[in-house]
Amino acid sequence: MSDQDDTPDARSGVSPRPAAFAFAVVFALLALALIIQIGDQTKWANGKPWVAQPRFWPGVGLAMMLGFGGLHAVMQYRNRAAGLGREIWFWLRAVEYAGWLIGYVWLVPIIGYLPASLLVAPVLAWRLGFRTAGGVLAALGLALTIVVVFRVILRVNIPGGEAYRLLPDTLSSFMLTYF
Amino acid sequence: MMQDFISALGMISEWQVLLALFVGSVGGVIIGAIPGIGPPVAIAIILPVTFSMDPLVGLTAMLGIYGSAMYGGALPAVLINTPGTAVNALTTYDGYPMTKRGEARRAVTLAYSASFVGGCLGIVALIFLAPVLAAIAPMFGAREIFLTAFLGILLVIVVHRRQVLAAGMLAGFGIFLSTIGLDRATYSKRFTFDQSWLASGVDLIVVVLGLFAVSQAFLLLTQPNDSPKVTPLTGRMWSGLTGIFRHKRVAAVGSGFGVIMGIIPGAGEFTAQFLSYSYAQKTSKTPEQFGDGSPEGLVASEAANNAVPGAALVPLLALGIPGEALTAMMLSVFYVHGVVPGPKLFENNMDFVLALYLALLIMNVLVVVFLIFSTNSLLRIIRVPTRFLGLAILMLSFVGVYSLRNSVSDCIIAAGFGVFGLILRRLDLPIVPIILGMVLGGIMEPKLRVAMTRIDTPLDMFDRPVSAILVVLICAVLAATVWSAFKRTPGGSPLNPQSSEKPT
Repeated sequence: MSDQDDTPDARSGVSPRPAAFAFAVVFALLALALIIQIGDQTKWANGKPWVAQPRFWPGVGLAMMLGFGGLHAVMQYRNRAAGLGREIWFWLRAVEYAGWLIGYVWLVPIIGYLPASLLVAPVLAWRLGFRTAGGVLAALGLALTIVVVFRVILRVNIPGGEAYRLLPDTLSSFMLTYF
Repeated sequence: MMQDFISALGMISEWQVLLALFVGSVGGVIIGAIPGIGPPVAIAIILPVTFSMDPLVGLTAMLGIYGSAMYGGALPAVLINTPGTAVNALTTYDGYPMTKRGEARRAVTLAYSASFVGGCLGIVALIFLAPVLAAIAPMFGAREIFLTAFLGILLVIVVHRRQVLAAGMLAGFGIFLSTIGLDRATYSKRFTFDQSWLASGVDLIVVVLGLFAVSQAFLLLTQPNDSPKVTPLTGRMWSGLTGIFRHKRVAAVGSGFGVIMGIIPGAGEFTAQFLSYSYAQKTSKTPEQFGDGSPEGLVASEAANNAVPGAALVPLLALGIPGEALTAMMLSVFYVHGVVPGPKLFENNMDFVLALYLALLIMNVLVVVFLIFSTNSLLRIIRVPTRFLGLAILMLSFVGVYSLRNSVSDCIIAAGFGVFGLILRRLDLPIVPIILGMVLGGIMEPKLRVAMTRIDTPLDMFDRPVSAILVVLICAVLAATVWSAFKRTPGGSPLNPQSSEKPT
């Protein structure tokens, strides 16, 4: 599925990956920054042995992050590949879709789960290049199916939208219960 | 025992359980057949939904997906050289060359029957080994559970050959994540940075959803659209199933590897199938055909990876220790319903355990029958455009995260882990060590605290038979890892990936 090399060698980490070195360095630096904060972010409990101290296990995790991460960065330095900017741009493109997800989350309590889904799915499908009537209808069908399966049949815990309260009483109650 | 069995039959025959079994099995096959989803994504999405169900219903649905996805994953691996799930990757080596030779139907039916043999032998191992482990489980005190979890962390790091450093770094990250929030022993905050949304810690389910489901959605949405072309199969599917009898030795040994690797925490399907494939190649009369359409290679791969799910439930049910990400997710279903895995489960809820066994057995039969009749219909599903698939996973991920506790913070955290998971996938770094680091780290911390109050010197950690055996195992794993690293790299650094040997 990847547009990168997906041979067994690549899967095993043998092939150089753009940004692998940069990622390893940032990860190790993050661990270091957190280790520096350990005194402020955890407490020392008097009278307890060191393994029972609140800072012991975060320390173990951070030490592993720094130790393994530092060595990983050293190994990746030998195995650097070109294309750092292109790879980081690819990561940033994912942030757009994180925005879509958060926007969807923001809409649901306001306009309700069903209307938010029926709005987001076709618009996102349009954005993704499905610009035929069939593509938009498929997205609407997908949204409706997901809402019916999860909200109506499986009764998952998603509260009704504020907008439902503006509807006539009977319809409002129906929408709050099922959608 | 007979009373428990009759009670189990009663439990399994309830319509909700049967429906969960059917939906889980068929859904698992479909999910497995679509390259780009896979059981971790599906289980992560339905996990919060199962919290409101009866425990047997929820677990049956999840086990159905877990056990049946690899059946479906073999289909695109054989027909279009793209594994449906990651663990079907080795199936492409011999399955696709068979398709190119015009033996697609034979390859597909061999994969189904090998999967069936592996799946059933995994369940047989579960039935016989889980009670044995549960019987010795009372010998597991705090120090033994700590050492078992430590062994699990160690194994999940070392089995990522050529990625040991990255796996160690990410397991450490998982352990660190498990400590964020309020320390329950001292009621002090840890790494909350005075943020109220961090005070209750980072929820495992949110991390799982972000790393598996949301990241997969992001990956599919950001990549160019793809819609594979597949040629329908012709001929009778039933007749091809008997081909497995010509490879029964490979199927049995491959399943054995699957059982052993399933039981060992952290080892999993990849190790099982590589060992099984290597064994089949070494003992074959035609080793030169491996990688070029060898039926034995196909059987070795599929039997091994399908034996893992059943066997992976052995340490989960007997000790409450998950061996990999999917059983870690299932553990949360047990806890949500107050069902505690371990010896007490076998003493007090044997009918529940038997019902799970029955569900797994029925699932394997159901899946094979479904595949016999629906293989050509499934080929239409494989052709779903990948970006549309990404849209579907994103919308389903919303249900999973938001229905947990209607928290916008959870959704933002899941989106953040989604981007982080995408980066890991792009860099080909493993995600599973993070999850196991979180789960096993959460087990290790309190157990070590309890263990330390009962010993005078660190050497007392090993003064009981089970703890001594575990320490020997830990030392053996460490020694074997260092030895194999140096053996692989004559004249070079043992950790240099470039000097590592190629996979078999």
